[in-house]
Parts: sequence; structure tokens; C-alpha cells
Amino acid sequence: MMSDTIELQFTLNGLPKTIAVRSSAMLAEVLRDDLGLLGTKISCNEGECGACTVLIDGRTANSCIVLAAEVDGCEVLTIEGLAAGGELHPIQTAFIEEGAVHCGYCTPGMILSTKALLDRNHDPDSAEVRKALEGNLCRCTGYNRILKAVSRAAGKLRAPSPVAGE
Amino acid sequence: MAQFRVAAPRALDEVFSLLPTYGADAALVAGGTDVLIHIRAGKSSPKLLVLLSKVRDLDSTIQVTGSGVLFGALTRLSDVASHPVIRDRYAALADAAGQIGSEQIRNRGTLCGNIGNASPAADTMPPLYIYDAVVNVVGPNGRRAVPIQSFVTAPGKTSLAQGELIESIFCPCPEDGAGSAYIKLARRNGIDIATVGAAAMILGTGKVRVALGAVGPTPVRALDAEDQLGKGLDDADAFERGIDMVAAATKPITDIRASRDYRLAMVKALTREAIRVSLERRLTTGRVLP
Amino acid sequence: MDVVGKSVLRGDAYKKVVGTHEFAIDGRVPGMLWARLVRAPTGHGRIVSVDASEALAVPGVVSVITAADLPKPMPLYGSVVADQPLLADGTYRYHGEPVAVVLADNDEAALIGAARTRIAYEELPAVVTVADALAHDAALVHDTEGGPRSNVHKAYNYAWGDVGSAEAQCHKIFENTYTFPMIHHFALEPFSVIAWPESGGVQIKSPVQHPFLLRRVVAECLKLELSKVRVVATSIGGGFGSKGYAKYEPLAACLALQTGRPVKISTSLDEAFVTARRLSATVRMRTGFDRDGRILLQQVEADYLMGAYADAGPRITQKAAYVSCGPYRIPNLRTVARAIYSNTTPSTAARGFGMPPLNFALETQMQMAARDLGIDPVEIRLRNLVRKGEQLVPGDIPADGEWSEGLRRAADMLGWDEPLPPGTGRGISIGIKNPIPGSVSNALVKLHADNSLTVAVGTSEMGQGACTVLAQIAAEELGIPMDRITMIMGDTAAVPFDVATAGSRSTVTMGNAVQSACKDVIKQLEDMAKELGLIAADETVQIKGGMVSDGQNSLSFNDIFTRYFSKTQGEVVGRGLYKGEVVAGHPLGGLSDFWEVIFIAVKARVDPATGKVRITKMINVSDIGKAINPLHCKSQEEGGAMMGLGHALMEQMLYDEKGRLRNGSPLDYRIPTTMDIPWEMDSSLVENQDGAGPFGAKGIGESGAITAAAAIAAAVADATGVFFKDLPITSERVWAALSADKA
Ligand SMILES: Cc1cc2nc3c(=O)[nH]c(=O)nc-3n(C[C@H](O)[C@H](O)[C@H](O)COP(=O)(O)OP(=O)(O)OC[C@H]3O[C@@H](n4cnc5c(N)ncnc54)[C@H](O)[C@@H]3O)c2cc1C
Ligand code: FES
Ligand code: FES
Repeated sequence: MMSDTIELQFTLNGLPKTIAVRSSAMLAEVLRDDLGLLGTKISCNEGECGACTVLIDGRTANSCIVLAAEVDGCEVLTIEGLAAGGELHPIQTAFIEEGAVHCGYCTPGMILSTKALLDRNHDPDSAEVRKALEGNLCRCTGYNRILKAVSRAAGKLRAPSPVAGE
Repeated sequence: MAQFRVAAPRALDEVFSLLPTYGADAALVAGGTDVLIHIRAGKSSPKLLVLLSKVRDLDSTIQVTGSGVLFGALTRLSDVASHPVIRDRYAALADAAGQIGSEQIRNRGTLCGNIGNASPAADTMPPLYIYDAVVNVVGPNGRRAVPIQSFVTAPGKTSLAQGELIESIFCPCPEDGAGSAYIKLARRNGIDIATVGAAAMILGTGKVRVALGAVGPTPVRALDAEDQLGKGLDDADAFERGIDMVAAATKPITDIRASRDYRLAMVKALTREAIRVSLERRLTTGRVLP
Repeated sequence: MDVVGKSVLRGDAYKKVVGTHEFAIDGRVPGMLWARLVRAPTGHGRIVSVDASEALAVPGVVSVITAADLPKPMPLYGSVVADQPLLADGTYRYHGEPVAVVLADNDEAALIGAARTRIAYEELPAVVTVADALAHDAALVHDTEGGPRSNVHKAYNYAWGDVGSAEAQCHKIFENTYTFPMIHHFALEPFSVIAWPESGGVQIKSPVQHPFLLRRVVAECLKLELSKVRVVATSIGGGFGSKGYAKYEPLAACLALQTGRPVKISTSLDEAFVTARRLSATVRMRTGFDRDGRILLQQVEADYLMGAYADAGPRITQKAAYVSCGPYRIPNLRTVARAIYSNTTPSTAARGFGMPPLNFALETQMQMAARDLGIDPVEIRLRNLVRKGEQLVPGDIPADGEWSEGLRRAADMLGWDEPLPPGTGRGISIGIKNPIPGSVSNALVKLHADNSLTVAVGTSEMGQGACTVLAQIAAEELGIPMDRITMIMGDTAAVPFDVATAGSRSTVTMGNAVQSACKDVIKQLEDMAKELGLIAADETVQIKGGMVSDGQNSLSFNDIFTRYFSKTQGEVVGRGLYKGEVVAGHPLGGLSDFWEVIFIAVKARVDPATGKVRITKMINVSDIGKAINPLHCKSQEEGGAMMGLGHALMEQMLYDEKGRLRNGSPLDYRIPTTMDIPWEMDSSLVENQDGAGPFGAKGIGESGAITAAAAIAAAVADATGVFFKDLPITSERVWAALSADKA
């Protein structure tokens, strides 16, 4: 039950995963260093910026301050798992179309926070979008285009279309 | 630079058998949003982290009963903030939980962790003070209940004995027609620690309760001022005397977030606002019955 | 036009949204050593000893390097003055200065090793403010034998007209002192660099804005030939000036050469606060007006506080003061600006390059004059704004736009004349800046046999969209579709020289170079067609949509290409050079290529009880000449403006008296979040095709950051009746001013 390494079993981007990791490792380190999923970005490394955001059981979390051990038995979604089968998720296309991507460092986290929001609220108003993204800092865009991208994505996801939603 | 080991016990008994071996070198982890930050910042260096998240006997729900609500050791802040009964009958607590950190933080961080961390600026503390919350503590030798006001003793210090943990927090049901609010002031609107936080509740009988955060080593319940504020609800001068008494009950300091003077002034401003919103809510909110 | 003027989607966005876009921090090279830095504990001190014994005992730690292990004398680096040592040598001069570096086989060991390396030190007095630095008995930041006995590095003077005799004509003179705090760039991507020995020299991979400048600085520092230093600029996760000038690259290069192995220096975001900051400034400004609100004179004394090493600080001071007149007609002017050393984080370029402090001062003076003289703030600016073609800074290019148009538009879009709710104010301001004078950009454009194109430029992609916009220019010029164009950027071994990705210059200067390289390709195709006899030698030809025609015959590029070479051989290589106008004796070395001008209008609501300011509406308008990509332009405006909003309301680095940075972390240094931006924000572009760039474009990018703080300060002044002369305008400051007012 207690050792320097632990074995984790969890679902990563829809697929079952079993991996042995150092018990003190953070989820972000495991994703990046052990699993090579570099789309999860590390910036502040202290829960302030949201660059490392992933979804754990559908909810946003800062993977830089979540022990990997916590996700045993959970479902984890990273940015790499969003474009199923190479087809961009409507949120991803909305971010491109609205010019919400500049340097791109905040983008994976921003997109995953948006996904969590739109999964629970199909038609968020501007105040709700701002609130949902307060933990995702962006120094490039000034956020305006990101807010537009979120509402465009919400529109796409509401529209009955074969590619909408997951 | 983590130099610790991690244990993920499945039952309380296991927790209790683990803790004594490490003593003060063990730290309990609920959401970890405080513990891991402190380790990262070099403020603490525990040798063992005991994860509570996989302990079967600990609860992550909010139980609504006829006499009040019960928050489990693992109840997350985002669930507190969005729960319809909390939003309606414990609005100050929903206000506070909803303003802690960011959504990512609220999704991991727990209510019990917020009080366990015992920060003077912990947002949920002032609301818990005005609701007269009770902290249910469990240890190897059994259970005890601690009134919230004697739970936090100093910055970072609680009345938990070594080996004990918080099993739940109970908030008795405020009487019908009560209205409450928590007002937070920080350096910015998004994700920030409170410079000052003020919670107020107006009871149906016209009684007022007020508690403040970030203006003393522990949260402050301004008991002496409450009577005066109650009298002042329809007497502006009396009310202002009450507000002065609230300020007198606090001991703010100067730090990088704000000066003592500003904090003192904000105690007054936010208390007024918290009372104003509480009154408004008392009149307007329809009840959601448990 | 088919491509230019369209909001073409970013070429690099796909990888960024799926998470496969690589940043330097993600890079790994086989055999690599991981380096972490051990840093100075206070603002100024003498290093007594470094105890590495505990660090060396950490499994995986290979060595701990201090100044003693580096070449002697200690190599110094810097783009303006080479005054910065690779590691502190005997003395350290700012909190966080690298004193030792731990090399290890893995990052964790390096981190633990760094935490366990102990520095024994003796504190020396630290200077952390302008006043400290100028005190008669001030400690010297650079106390070198035979060196200057002052912390003032340099003073820059500008003057025209006759301030003295204009005094008498003034109806009113406003004289005020303004302070602008130390600001951190706060790029999300931390600093990270990998260097390794390569072909008798060194290769450096770093998210750097100016790869060629870095190449020069490293070559000078390590005494290598330029051709032996190869810099590969990786895609930048936010720069804003912080990644322009050399930071950890010279040290990484030196260590790579010394160990013979690849070395990666990684830093945390906290460490970014002790790596780079914007210059703070104290600005004393006297502005004299006539009865009608026309400026008659202006006197400026600007003290710019640099950090412990010069970095770009002197140039920033010199260049900002050059445009201390703002966009206004000021017949009599005298400006002196000083670049001053202090024991703080080295200050470097930052969005707006020294303009924001001067802009905040000047625009606040305008606001005061408007109030005092009873003139509307828009009107008073219109009265002073230079007209198109009118001289601004004597000897430089005249105003290259009709700027009143942008000012009026910003006011209209805000609803300037609408009645305001109580507690709300409106403010407007104009920002101006010039790019790098007399600068050089080269571009190579290669047309391949299959009608695809490679464009090679030294510009770095840092989110501003250069890779898309420069491709658009080539696509338009040659009629080749965007998806057949590949951009090669920022590898000094593969692309021709460019001076810098800075100063909002790339679309204009590199854009011109790309455009002329494309024209060179066309010229060559034309010559080839004529040589083959496909087109009459004396005909003028037309190029459109990838076709060359002389009125009778129409040939595709490909036709010409394959007939001239063959299907399997050949390449048409176009060369383009842009060279700004160099002027001998000019204080900045040459003329401005264009003026970057932005107008910001703001409505702000102030809560008198708490002093809290909310921006309810913000309008950004830029005089852009021609927007090659309107979406990019607008989002540059907005990004800049939100950075400016942070400067206005919350950002500041705070030091204690020992020179220790008290809030050097994202936890304590606040930047705007989604909850802090204006409730409503809109942007617009003035396009009159009157810029010096391709298709009449001007530059944008620093834009909003130059003047958003001034506009916000004006709105707060309008709402409260109090002029704030010190940034940031925190809630506490507003509250304090309002309570003082009441008392
Ligand atoms: C970026 C960021 C922003 C934040 N913003 C705010 C904010 O605005 N306002 C605010 O109040 N806080 C804030 N916090 C602090 C933190 O998120 C909250 O205090 C949160 O409620 C802590 O809960 P947790 O479950 O994560 O606690 P943990 O970190 O798991 O634990 C905190 C402390 O409580 C103890 N503990 C936890 N559970 C128990 C238990 N059942 N019994 C006994 N002891 C226990 C732990 O041992 C530890 O000492 C912020 C943190 C971060 C990283
Ligand atoms: S890197 Fe995890 S929140 Fe910033
Ligand atoms: S796009 Fe650069 S930080 Fe958001």
C-alpha cells in the first residue's frame, strides 16, 4: 500500500492505462515525462494559471498540483484526447476560427476548461464563460477572442450536426 | 522536489494506524490544493502524504436533513457552491465557496481542507462562523464535535490533536426568513486571495450576525457588534456605531496585499454591503425545502 | 486582392489546439545535462563561499559550477553594454542573480541539487528606487575601479524651439511627477534553452525573439565567429520583449562548450520574475498651454530605473524620450532622460519599449488641461494632434496618417457623448511609438518545381502571427495558394539576417523584404520566359494568379520553370532586402519607418466604498494603413490593451529595502484574468493604405500596451475627480485618495 512507486490504473483519453510511477509524482509530470503527452503545458506549477488543465472525471483540474496517485480509477482527458480520430473537436475549430490562439501556451488548458463548461452548460452567458475560465491565464489575446470562440463553439455544439459533440 | 512518500489508504482504520508512525511528519491530503502548494513553496516538508480521497468511510456528498446540512470530509468546494439548498439557505457559504480560487481549484479543493488549512484568509470560514457550524472530528479514540469558533486557533493551527481528522462539518438550519451573504474583496476579480472577506446573516427575528476574514490571525465573529447592528437596522446612527464596533473587533495587519488602514476601512464597507445583500435576500429568496 | 486583407486563419493554430506544437521547454537531446540555477538571496552582496557538498551528494548531480569554474576573466554579455557576467563573480547585484549552476543527469536531481547548494554571503547596501540610486551617498551597483562614481549610466537630451521664451505665452502650465512601477512580462512559457557543441562551435535552441542579435551577443561573449554560433529560435510561448535579448543562452552555450555535452537550462515561472522586467520610471513633466488648449511648451525629466545590468535599458530610455512629444505639435520642447542602474531584476524590452511611462504622464497632463480649461478631452487632443504630412519630431518622417480619424472613431464607438451613470467616467488617450530606426531585414523566397514556395525569414513566431501574415504577403504577390507556402523561421543557419522581432516592425520591414523577394522571383521568371522566347523581350508583362502574360501569351510559373530547368531540377531563389533609412549623426541612427498610433477610449466605474475600478467598456482603434490580416490586428490591439489594463490597475513588482523581491511569483503578482477585462470590448482599424509596409501596411503589436493605462487613468479621473499620478491605480489607492478628498 505504501512504497516509492505505485501502480495506477485509469482511463486516459478513452483507453485503459496501467502504469507504475513514483508515488510522489504529479499528474502533469506523469503525462509529460512518462507518457510523452506534451500537450499538457506547465507554466506556474502552482495552480494559478491553468496551462496544465486536464479533465478528471469530466471536471477541470490543475494537473501540476494533483498527485498522479489521485487519478487511480478515474477518467482523464488531456488535449491529445479531444480530436477523436484526427477530426478536430468543434471547440478546437472555434478557437482557430475566432483567432483565439496566439502563442498557444494557454490554449490546451483553455480548450479543456471550455469543454468542461460546455458539457454542463450548453448556452452559457458571458458572465458564466468568464467565471469558468478565470483559472486560465492568457497574456497574449486579452481574452476577448477566447470568449468569442467559446460562444461560437457553444453554437456549433448546439446545432444538430453529425460532428457536433462527443 | 518532492521528498515524500504517498499512501492511499482505503479505510479510516488504516489512516489511524499509519499516522502515529510518522507523527508530525505526516500530512493529510484532501484536495491537496493547499498541502502541495506549501510543499512546493518550501513551507512544509512532510515525509508522508496520506490521501483521504480513497478512504471508503469518508463522504463527498452534501446531506440535507431537517436540522441542517452535513458536508463530508471530501465534499468539494464546487459542489458546495452549486448545491441548490446551499445557494438558497446558506447563501453566504455558496458565495464564499464559489469565489475560492478558480474552477480547477474548487473542483479539487474541499470545504474541510479550507478550514483544515486554517488560513486567516480562508473564504469559507466567516460564513461557517455565522452559521454556527460544528466540526465533527474523528480519531483513533472516537469522535468529538468542535464548535467552528474554537476550531482554528492561530494561522495554520487547529484544535485537532495529532492523529485526528475532520469527518464532516454540520451547519444547523438558519431560521426561516434568514438571509445571508459573503462579500470578498481582492486585488483582482478573478482567482485571488481575499484582502478582506465579510459574512453577514440577518435572521427572521431581525438579529444580525457578522464574521470577518483576513483581518486577524483567525476569523473574527463580531459578537459585541451584532446586537448594536440589529438595533441599527432601522436607525442609521445606531447602525454606524455597530459598524465601528465590528472594525474594533478586528486586528488587521499590513502586508503586500493591503495596508492595515485600508483593511480596517474595508471591514466597514464590506460589512455594510454584506448586511445590505443579506436583507435583500431575506426579502426576496423563495425557500427550497430540503 | 485575394489573400491580403483577409482574416486568413493561422498556419500554426492546428498544432496548438491539438497539443502537438513543440516549445523549447519540451525539447530533449540525447546525452543532455539538465541545469538549474542557484540564485542570490538579497539585492546586493559579496559571495563568501559556495558550499556544494550536499548538492554533489544527490544521486544524478554531475557537477556544481560557480564563477571559479568558468573562463577568466569572467565572460560578460549584453547587447548595448557587455556588463552582465555568466555567473555572479565575487559580487552579486540583484536578488535572484545566478551564482551557481547545478548540472545533473535529470531535472529532478538538478532541482534538488540547486536547493541544497548553500551560498555564504555578506550583504551590501542595495539601491532599489530612483531616489536610492541618486542619493549622494548611494551605494554603487557597479563599483569598478576607475569606473563611474554614479549609478546614472547615461543621460539623453532632446530639445527644439525655445522653452524659456515660450513660458511667458502660456496661459497655464501643468507640472507633475508621475511614477510607473516595475512590471513583469508574465509570458506563460518559462525561460528554457538547450545548447550543444556543433561543428567547432555551438548550436543554441531557445525561444528567442532576435536570433541574430543573440548570435552576435554569444559570439562576442565567448569569442567565437558569427558563423560558429547557430541560433534556432523555437516558437515562443509569449515574449513581449522578455525573450528578445540574451538571457540564459550565453551561459548555456559556455557550459555546452565546456562539458562537450548538450546542456538544458530550465527555469520556473517564478524565476522569470528575476530574469526580466520592464523599466520603471519617474517622470517629471511640465506642459504649458495657451488659453485655447494648444501646447506651447513641454519639459520632461524622465528617470528610467534599469536593473543591475544594462540589457536593453539604455536604448529603451534613449528611444522613448525621443518621442516624448507624443502625437502632438509641441513647438518648444526640452527632454532629458536618464538610464539608471539599481539592484533589481535586469530590465529589458517590454511591449511599448519605454513609451508607457511617458505616455501615461503626457496623456494625464492632457486630461488635466482639458478639465482645467473647460475643453472636451477629445477636442483638446484634436487641437494638438499633428496633421498628416506635418512634422512631429524634427528631422524625422512626418505624420503618416490623418490621426484625427482614429481619435474620432474611438470616441464615437465608445459613445463619448452619451450620459454616464453615476460613479462612471470616460477617458480617451493616444499612444504613439516608432519601430527600430534604420533596421535591416532580409528574406529568401524559393519557388520550387511543383509550384510550391518556401519563405525563409529571421522573424520569430511568438503568437503575433508573423508566420501567417508573411505567408499572406508572398501568396498575394505570387498568386500561390497559402497551403503551398512553407515558412522557415528563425534558424540563423538557414535564413538570412534580420535584426529583431520587435518594435511592431515585422509586417512592415520583413513584409517589405518578403515582398521584394517575391518580386525578384517574378523578375527572374520573366527573364527566363524572355530568354526562352516565350514572351516578347520588349513587352511589359503582367503577373496574376501564378501566371505570367504579355497580353497575348499566358504562361504559368510552372510552364516557365520546367522549360527552363526541367521537371526534376532547379529552383528560383528570390532575395529581398529592406533597409531602413540610416542617417549619420541621428540620435537613434536613422529615421522611423512609420508611426504606430493607437487610440483607446474607456468607460470605468468606480465604487467609492472600496475604491474598486471596473472597466465597463473599452474601444481600441489603430491607424494601421492596411490590415494584411484584420483579425490578427484586432487581437493584437486587444492583447496589448489587456496588458495595459494590468499595468493600470494591478501590476507591480515590490522590493524590500534589502532588495529582495517580495512578490516574484504568479501567486502574488497579479495580471488580468477573464473576470478583470472590460465588460464590453470592441476594436477597429483605420485603413488608408498610407503605411510604409507592403500594400500600405503599418505595424501593430505593442499598440494597446502603450496607452491603455493612460486611457483607464483618464476614465478614473473623470469618475472621481482625482488624478492618479502613480500606477497601478489599485483599489486601495483610489480609496485613499477619495477619503483624503472627503477629509
Ligand atoms: C491557486 C490557488 C488559489 C486559491 N484560492 C483560494 C481562495 O481564494 N480562498 C481560499 O480560501 N483558499 C484558496 N486556496 C487554498 C485552497 O484551495 C483551499 O483552502 C481549499 O479549500 C483547500 O482544500 P483541499 O481539499 O485542497 O485541502 P488540502 O490541501 O488537501 O488540505 C489543506 C489542509 O487541511 C488539512 N486537511 C484536509 N482535509 C482534512 C481532514 N478531513 N481532516 C483534517 N485535516 C484535513 C490538510 O492536512 C492540510 O493541512 C487557493 C489555492 C490555490 C492553489
Ligand atoms: S501550471 Fe498548473 S496551474 Fe499553472
Ligand atoms: S495565447 Fe499566449 S498565453 Fe494565451
